[in-house]
Amino acid sequence: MGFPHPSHPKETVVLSKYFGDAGARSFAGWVERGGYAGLKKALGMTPDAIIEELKASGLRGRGGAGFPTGLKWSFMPKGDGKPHYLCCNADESEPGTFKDREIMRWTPHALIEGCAVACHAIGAETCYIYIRGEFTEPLAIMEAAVAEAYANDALGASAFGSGKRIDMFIFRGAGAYICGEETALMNSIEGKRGNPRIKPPFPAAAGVFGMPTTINNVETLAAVPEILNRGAAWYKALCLGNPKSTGTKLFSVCGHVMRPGNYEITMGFPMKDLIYDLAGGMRPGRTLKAVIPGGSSVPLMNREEAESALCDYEGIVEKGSMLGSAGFIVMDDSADIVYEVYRLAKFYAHESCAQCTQCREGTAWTTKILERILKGEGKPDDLDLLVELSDQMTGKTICVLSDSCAAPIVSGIRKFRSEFDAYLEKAKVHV
Amino acid sequence: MSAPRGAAAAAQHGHEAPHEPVFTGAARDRLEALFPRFPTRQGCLLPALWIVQEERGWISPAAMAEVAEVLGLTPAYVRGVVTFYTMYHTHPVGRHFIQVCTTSPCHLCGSDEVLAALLRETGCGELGATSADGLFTVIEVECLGACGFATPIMIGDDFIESVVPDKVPGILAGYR
Repeated sequence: MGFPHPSHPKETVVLSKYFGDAGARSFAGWVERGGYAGLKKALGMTPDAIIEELKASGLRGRGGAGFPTGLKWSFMPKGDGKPHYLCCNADESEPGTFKDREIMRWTPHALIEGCAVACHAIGAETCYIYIRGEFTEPLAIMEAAVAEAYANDALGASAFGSGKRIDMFIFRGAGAYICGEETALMNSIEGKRGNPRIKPPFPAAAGVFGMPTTINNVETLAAVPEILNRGAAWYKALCLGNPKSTGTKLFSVCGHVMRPGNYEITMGFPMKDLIYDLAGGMRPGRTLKAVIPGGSSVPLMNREEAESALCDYEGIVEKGSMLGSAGFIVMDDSADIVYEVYRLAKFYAHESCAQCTQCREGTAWTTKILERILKGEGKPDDLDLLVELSDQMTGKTICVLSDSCAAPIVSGIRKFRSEFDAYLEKAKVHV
Repeated sequence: MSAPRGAAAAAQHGHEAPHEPVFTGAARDRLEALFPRFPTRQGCLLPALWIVQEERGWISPAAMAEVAEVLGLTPAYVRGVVTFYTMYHTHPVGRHFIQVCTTSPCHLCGSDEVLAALLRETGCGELGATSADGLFTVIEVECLGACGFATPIMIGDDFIESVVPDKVPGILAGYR
């Protein structure tokens, strides 16, 4: 079922089946709906068997990078004698993305179950669920659900009597977009400023508290129990032709659409149908101008690209952007691309941790240059300067925050040049 | 640095009233319940700072020194962490702290008008200012992660979705 809108017949509902159903929030309610069968099954399997099942399912990271989940889990060392950790990334802060929030609000036990399965698979006894500080309702629901899971022996010294210790703690973030970057998230848990770390070492070698760590997104982990229940083959078959992108995914659609919300569709679903059928299309009299499909950190797509793209990792790359976290920011013909690109640059400038020069200076200067263009004070070579700056901000820093700032700027200039020119030629001034 | 010295020095520096320790009674119990969750005391820092803010409404220099003392850190280190995160208040704020999302998805859906209505109806007038009655402070924030429910605002810990200018007076009435 969809939320907050009614379910659409073209949705394929797995993760969002109980969105809007408050009865699914309690431990008993979750068990009544078939919950915790996946964890019980997993506890009877070897870690290797779980990892092989995940690899076979084709599940890829839903936080943005799309890295194969089973492969990531297989990187954890075996028999090293060190404590292992699982971190669940619930710092959902990418503009346009609001799916993890709904998973935590409606099906907290799906996430706890997925985390517990992952703990067993990677040999971790401790899981931290890092939830952004502003998510007060998901925080309260997850705290209550974890307490219930302990009370019902799903967590604790011996999960469901298996002899496996699984401890799970909710960790409240305190306002920092960058803590959604995995190494910054680990620093934050350690009680540090949320500065990303240079990789290598990768988290599987030296993660939180210097120990082997796996970090997965909420949606990735919540998908795991049902994969174990129904099998890798079932999950893998949920795709529309591209075997590299399997399963269902929640797509958050916002901006200028009639029915903003989360829609769960199989990978490979046509973007045109997502925008026009599921999300209800544009407001009356308006036409589609642009879509930023991956959360704000990916290139803009113009109307032609968006209407012809398929919604999966490869399909969106083919049309000049990236799937990312699948947070769709939809803009109709009333949108001012220059202002929206400026607003995103301002976001990244605010959120830069300021460790790397290219990012600290680059995000600040792109914002200032875009601001003067909007005021009608742009200089003739400002667009070349922005492209040059963006180049210096791409692939040269510890994390990809500055790359993320550059992506909408470069694609905005490339695909909507006339809107920038209108400001530069003083035909237009932002008021 | 011992706690009284650190706290006293910080209080003198900020011309604050003498610092009443935060971590006594139930707050101390909450702090100690954190210890087994992390392999280091430093790992308890963010949750400990949340306890301070819940108890006092903001995190004063003296409170930072107290947190440093209980976790075996330095006040300067704690200050460095506090100031990295936007949700920790380093100065007192209005009783109801209002955060309005104005990032692109909400901007597309009219968040500028929501912000203007909040500044007008609270009497704050400008961003970051506290209203004359001391009730409200309004700030603009980056993405609150509820873009499909534009415009989301937070009033204290209350997360309110789908706010439009017309709804603002009614929402504020509940906080007066």
